[in-house]
Amino acid sequence: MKRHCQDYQEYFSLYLDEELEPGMKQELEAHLERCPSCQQELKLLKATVKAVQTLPTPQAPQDFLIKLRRRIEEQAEYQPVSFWNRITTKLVAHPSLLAGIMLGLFVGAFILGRFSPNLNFKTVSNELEPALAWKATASGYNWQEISALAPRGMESSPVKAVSYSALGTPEKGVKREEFSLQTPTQLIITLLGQNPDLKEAEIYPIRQGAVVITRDRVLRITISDANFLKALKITAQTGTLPSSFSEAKKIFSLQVEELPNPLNPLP
Amino acid sequence: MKENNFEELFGKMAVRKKEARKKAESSDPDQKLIQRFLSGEEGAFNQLVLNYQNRVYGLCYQLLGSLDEAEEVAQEVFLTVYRSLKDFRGESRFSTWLYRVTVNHCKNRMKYLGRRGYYQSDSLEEPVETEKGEISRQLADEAQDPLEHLEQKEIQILVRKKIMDLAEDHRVVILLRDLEGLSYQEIARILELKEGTVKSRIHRARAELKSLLEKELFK
Repeated sequence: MKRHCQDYQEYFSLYLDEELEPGMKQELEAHLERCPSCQQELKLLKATVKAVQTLPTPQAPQDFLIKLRRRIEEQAEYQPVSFWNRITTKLVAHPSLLAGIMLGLFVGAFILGRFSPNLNFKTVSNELEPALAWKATASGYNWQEISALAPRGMESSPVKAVSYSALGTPEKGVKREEFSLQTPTQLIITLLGQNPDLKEAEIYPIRQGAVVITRDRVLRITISDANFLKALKITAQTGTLPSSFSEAKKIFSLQVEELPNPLNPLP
Repeated sequence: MKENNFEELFGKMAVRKKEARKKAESSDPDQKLIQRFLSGEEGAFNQLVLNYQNRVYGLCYQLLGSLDEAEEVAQEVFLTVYRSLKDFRGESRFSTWLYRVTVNHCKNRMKYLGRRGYYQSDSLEEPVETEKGEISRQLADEAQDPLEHLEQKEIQILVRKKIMDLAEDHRVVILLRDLEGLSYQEIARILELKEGTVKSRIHRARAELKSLLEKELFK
């Protein structure tokens, strides 16, 4: 059966990609030799393919990974909030239900308030596990379910919180890249975990760093994004982290602020 | 008797799947990083991101036509990967799976943006400075012909606009083939289609793009 130009043109893509079987390729090339209009068509298709192949493609922004790590951390930290968001949006859509619940809560709180345990910051914080220092080679994030205190007679509501998996200095022989890429929070917690003076301290992850609570001091230690990037470069070059926290403070330009300690107020 | 046949058949299928997984593991350079991540090493995940962020972000940009959308969707792609890597069975290469996740996220986003009339407005953005762009600029400079450079830039804008005019399925295959340089077989795996379908779809997509460009470019 004799093929028409249109039939041949169906094979142009495969021909350009060198995916055509030898017999068909020969037949097509023979046709092209004697058909100027198919030659022209092939030329245009080739130019189209080349135009797509040479399109410039942008590179990912430099802070792509940092933003991603932050989102991973945020999702881990704030998961319960999104649950509450869902409920509150529903409640806003139904004002009468909201009013009913508010009234119920008000009456309930009034009655239960008389029997409720002493709920202040200290009792609650004592119930929570301190976040231990993060270590690159350990199992990473752990979900931990903590039951918040609830007034007697009411069900306790579980709260999900992140705990970090291990405390202490990174093992010897840990490879370069394992410390070269972490979030600001992870970097600070790793540095703090190395410090023998802070063995007894409680370390809480916050955005850009951590809060450290020792027996008599509350410190907020953070690092800016720009300095974090510099720190990554330094650790990538040296392959190790600074040997002490004070050295790290100097090299990485960490910000250390003393916060008022509620248990030991300054005069 | 029949039951035995079924058992045999399922047994064979299981063996074949196992073999496929073994093959993918041994030939997939990312498998080591994945194993390290799954055993708790966050740094290995970071390395995976660094290895693939440009490819994912670039493909998102070409599919969605916006730098902001590309960044948002690319972030979502890697968040999905972070959460689902434990379910990744290794029956295909990691890159195949990653491309599939990327294409699916982009398709969802295209539907969402399409509903909001996003593509009716002239919302195409040009990438700022890029590696390839730099190279083509350098080449243009070397040619000492400022007009040529301008023309090339204009052609690129036109090509990108016309790609955005293609049907979604055509846009996906043409970018996977001609921009990402993937094989027919790889594209078939990513889109979970038969290779024959991919072949004909790529040809139709190129022919459609060609006719869109023909009137304006190849006068």
